[in-house]
Amino acid sequence: MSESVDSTFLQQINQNLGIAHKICRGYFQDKEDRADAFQEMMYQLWRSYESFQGNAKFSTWMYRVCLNTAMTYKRKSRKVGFDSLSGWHDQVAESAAAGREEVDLLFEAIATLSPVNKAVVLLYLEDLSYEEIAGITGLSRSNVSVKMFRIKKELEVLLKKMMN
Amino acid sequence: MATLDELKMAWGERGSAIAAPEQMAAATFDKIVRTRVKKHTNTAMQYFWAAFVLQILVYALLGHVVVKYWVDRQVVLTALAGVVMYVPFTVVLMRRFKAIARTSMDKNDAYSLQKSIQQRYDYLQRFYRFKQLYEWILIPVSSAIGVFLVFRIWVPGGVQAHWMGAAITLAVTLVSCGVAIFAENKRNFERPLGELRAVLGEFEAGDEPS
Repeated sequence: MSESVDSTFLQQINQNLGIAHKICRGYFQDKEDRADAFQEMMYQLWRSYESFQGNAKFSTWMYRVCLNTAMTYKRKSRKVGFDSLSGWHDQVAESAAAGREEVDLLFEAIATLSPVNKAVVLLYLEDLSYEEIAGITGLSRSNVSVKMFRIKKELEVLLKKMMN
Repeated sequence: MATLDELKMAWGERGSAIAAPEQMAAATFDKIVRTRVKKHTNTAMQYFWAAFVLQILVYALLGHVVVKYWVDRQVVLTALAGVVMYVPFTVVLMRRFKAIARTSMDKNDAYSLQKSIQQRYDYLQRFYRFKQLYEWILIPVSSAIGVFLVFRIWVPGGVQAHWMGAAITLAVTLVSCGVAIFAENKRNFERPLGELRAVLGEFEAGDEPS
């Protein structure tokens, strides 16, 4: 693929951009790491788009690529730096942080989970079925069910502590 | 206190606020891609240049020795052995590195996260195993060749007359290389492989009873 952006691809990315932001927010607490990981996700999506054959929905494929990037991302942004995008990411972060509600607390609680559990709960919150979660992650359906049961308990205890 | 299922509703309602406040322009996306392509290429090229410079140094030094001490058969044969030994190792190392550098994260859109991460782990592990073999064989042998040549050319009597000095020089060389390699391997291979192993372990451990 040449280094230019296909308009259909960009349109699909924009329609599902929230996926990348939510995953970044769930996986990375540091603002720089989050922005750097977001850029890496966009790059990996662009790079993998050629192999996207439409076997799955675009959003499902995007979840897979973004989660893969988040799980294998090397936290090194403080050492190597990243290119600023004229405050675009700051705007995103501010918008997300505006009005700290239950969702913000939920993000904080999700941040404490293990990488695989984060993926499972983020997909669950997006209203994906256990089958879909199993398809994206590679876990069995029963494994997803067991994990969700434990995650729910873990998050509820954490959220209770946070609220008190 | 809301349960996760109740929070899921709030998540859905606030979903649009969490998503980007504005659409990403083609120019912004283009800039991201170009920056990342440059970054990934630079990382790959750092490795390439390191191997390339090492090759130049080895061939230049050994070539100089061969030309200058052409009459000394032992020196020439040792230097040529060093040159010949480096070629296949570097060719294979660079081929494997190229394979890793070109590996896309999701070559197949039907691959699950577990499968993609496993594939990534396998590539890195294979490359690391070969690199270790390279280090265990090539570094001691080339250090020994270097020490032998230095003593043969510049120290009267050579290694035979100063075996203790040669042994200390070899030991210092090996320790220096060992420390540098250990630090590099830990940062670039051990740690990333450990992280990937932990994630894969988590994928596999899910069905165990709590």
